[in-house]
Amino acid sequence: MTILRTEALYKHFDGVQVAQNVNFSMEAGEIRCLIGPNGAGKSTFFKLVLGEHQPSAGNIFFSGRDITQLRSFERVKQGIAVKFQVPGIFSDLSVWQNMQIAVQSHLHHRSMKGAISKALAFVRLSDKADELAGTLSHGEQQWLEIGMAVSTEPSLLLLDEPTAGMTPEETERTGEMIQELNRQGMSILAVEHDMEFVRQIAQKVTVLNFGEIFAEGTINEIEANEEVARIYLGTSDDD
Amino acid sequence: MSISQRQGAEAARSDSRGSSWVRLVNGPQTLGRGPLFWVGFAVAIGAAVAYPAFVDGWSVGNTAYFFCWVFMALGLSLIWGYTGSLSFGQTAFFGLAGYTYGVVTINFGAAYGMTIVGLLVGVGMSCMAAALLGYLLYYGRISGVFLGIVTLSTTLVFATFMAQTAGPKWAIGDARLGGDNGMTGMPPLTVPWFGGDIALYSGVPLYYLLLAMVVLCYLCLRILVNSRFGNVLVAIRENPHRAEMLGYDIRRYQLIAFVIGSGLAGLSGVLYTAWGQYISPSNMNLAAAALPIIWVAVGGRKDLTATLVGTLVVLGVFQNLTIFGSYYAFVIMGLLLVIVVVFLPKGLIPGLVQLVSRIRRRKGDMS
Repeated sequence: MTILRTEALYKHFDGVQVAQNVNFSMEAGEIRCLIGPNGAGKSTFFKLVLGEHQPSAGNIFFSGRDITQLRSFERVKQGIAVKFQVPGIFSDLSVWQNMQIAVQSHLHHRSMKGAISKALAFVRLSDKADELAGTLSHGEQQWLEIGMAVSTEPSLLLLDEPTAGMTPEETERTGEMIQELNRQGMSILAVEHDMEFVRQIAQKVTVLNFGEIFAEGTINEIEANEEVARIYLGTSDDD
Repeated sequence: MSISQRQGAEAARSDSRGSSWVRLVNGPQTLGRGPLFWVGFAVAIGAAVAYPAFVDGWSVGNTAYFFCWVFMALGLSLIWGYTGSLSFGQTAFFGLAGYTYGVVTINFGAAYGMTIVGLLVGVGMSCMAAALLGYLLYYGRISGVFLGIVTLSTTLVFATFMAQTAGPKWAIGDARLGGDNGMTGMPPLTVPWFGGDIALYSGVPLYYLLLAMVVLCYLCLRILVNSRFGNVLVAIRENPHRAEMLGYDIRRYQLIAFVIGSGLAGLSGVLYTAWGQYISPSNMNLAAAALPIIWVAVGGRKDLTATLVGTLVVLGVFQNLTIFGSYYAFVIMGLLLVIVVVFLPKGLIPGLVQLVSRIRRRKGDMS
């Protein structure tokens, strides 16, 4: 079953085309990575899927339903969650309160405590539940945000550079988390620059360039693609 | 992590274990928690109850006058402190409700509980006006400083309009709006009673009624801000983008908070008008519109208790300053606001709590 599909998606800002005829499709249960050089349109694509930008033309389908006209919070209610590149947490509230606000968006009071504890255990922050979220390390803040996004029980999780600024150990742990979520049935779409990490998690990779889908395939196919190497992976024709 | 922050986090955990009113009153979004706080609260209520027995009638009436303003400050704390929308519109809703009370009671009198009807209609009018303005603001994606500018403009336009309503042609039924001189002649709050109506002129009965209303309003708001609804308000204040991406329709929450907060300003307007039997455009002008911001910012906008205590203290200081000249009082109030914003951005009372926490922690470390 196709979980996310875009149909002839276009977006331009004052004449600058940032998404051009994007016909994207991913299956439920897949881990897909979105790569491409800076300015390729990866973040714009995320914002279009999230409803933060309205497309200039085209449609977006989630689980078969056209969500193009839905507002962001309505898309979240449909089952899309996001973790931003810069941790989007409530810094002045405790870790527990952060998770509580995420969990209460879809759960009733009686089952909340267990769900919060479970989510905190998953992102290994149980012992930091009483600390202010703003005092966590960068990696922990990233995990907290992943935990908050996952707490809304989405079927599709969007991750915008989930390992940015993380140590190698934190990156590896994040990869394990993502794979664990995928095993539980969650579909994951991640924008990522770290090719080592892409290799760790991705089942399929989509390359964007100048707002268009440039290539698509397994990580081995993408790495073997000379055109991709030329535009993104930094390999010149002479190499 | 300070003691107050730790207590807040622990309160957040305990809040998730049940939804009883007691837990909500004692929840994480309010500074005062635990037995010590509630003992202090009970002592403060006891002192307030005993107060009229120890002071003269003027002081009782003057304190009742202070109580009239508290609702507007608590409403602003909800809109600004808890939800993050700086509104200069409180005095507009205050004035609208006050004038409405005047129109209803001048036309229909005080018998048969008509002043209570006037109160409800006044508050209802301010809620409806807030719903309309709030809808245009939040659904029109106006936020931040622009929200402050639009609400201030609305207030000043309304005050200017009311100021030019002098003359007999500006009347609703028997109620003349009165232009700059304001509207007079409305009855005080009058409670229907078995032996005959009780008119609550500025005095001990009105003092007790207002005291009870302040306590009730304070406790209800504590429950509200510590509820699931309050959690979302705080989330919107902290990071509206993230709140929306957790599936919350943030504009709906902002609008509801705006209507409740503005309705409380309306309640203040009605009570003030009934207390003084007078309302005028000067209650809504630029200086008047800025005062609630000062009360709430100085006390501590992000906490109801800080707002309540701060408002009463600043009102008392302001009134004493006016003895030396009302313009100097405004200058000093402005100065106070600047000092607090620069040196204690969270407000005097949260700053004080933080200081006490630090001292207690240092003592604990030494022992």
